Amino acid sequence: MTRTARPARLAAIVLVPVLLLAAVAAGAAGTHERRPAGLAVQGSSVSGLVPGRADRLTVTIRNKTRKPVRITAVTAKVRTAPPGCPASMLKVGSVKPAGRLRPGRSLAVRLPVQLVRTAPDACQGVRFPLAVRASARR
Amino acid sequence: MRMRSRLAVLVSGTAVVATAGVAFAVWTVDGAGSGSATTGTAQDLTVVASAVDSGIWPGGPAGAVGFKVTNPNPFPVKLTSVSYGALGTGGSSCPVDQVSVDPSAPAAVDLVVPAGQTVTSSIAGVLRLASSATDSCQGVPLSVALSFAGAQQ
Repeated sequence: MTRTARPARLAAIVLVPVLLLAAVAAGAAGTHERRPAGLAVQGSSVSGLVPGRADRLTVTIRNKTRKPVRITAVTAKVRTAPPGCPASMLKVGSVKPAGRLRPGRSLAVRLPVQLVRTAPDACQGVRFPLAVRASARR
Repeated sequence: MRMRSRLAVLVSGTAVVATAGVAFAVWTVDGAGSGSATTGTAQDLTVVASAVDSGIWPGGPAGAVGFKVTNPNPFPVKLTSVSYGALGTGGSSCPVDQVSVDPSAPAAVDLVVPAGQTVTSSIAGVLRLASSATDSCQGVPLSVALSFAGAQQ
């Protein structure tokens, strides 16, 4: 009995952590599946930008989770720029809105947008596609 | 007894790791979308002659040319140079070749036209009437086409 009991205990010592880790992995996967969809983010279209004049890009953020979240950052980046008018000609700021966003609610924030004063003539009538991103925490 | 202690240590250590992993997974959320920014296109300014110096006489000094310039753009424009084009005598019998632009007429200007506004101004010493001009050139509205160049201020 004692000869068989020792291997059994040893097996338990090895197996229990392994099983626990497996459970953790399963739990993490389960958490990921239950994890809310996040934030729905949509940026507006700003037009008529001229060198040196500041404008605003409206970004609408909807909390798709089931818990209130606190928006930590809203940013936008130029995805592509046309020849002769580099992406650096467009400055887009970021904002950190205050307060919490309740589940299912939307929030509109305004990012500062400006075509730099030194923008060349090639920047006339140009459309800059923007990638807008919002981050939040509970 | 010793075995149970080791087992307990292993279990609790694993549990801590598990908790940390789960907690990190649910604390941040984010989202991405798209937008766009489109630049405007500068519009040409419109220039209209408003009045020419009425004191021009044959062989006299060059007279001033008045004009109104309208800036349709949403930004101020600074005019820096001017060039002179076609001359006119208002459809009168006064020959156009009796009118000329003075060789020393200004080529540089310094005029700011605010966004969306019209500015009235004049340039001195532009039009000259030849000394051979006849009586048919009396009281005639002389004109000259003006073309300005400038940039956003």
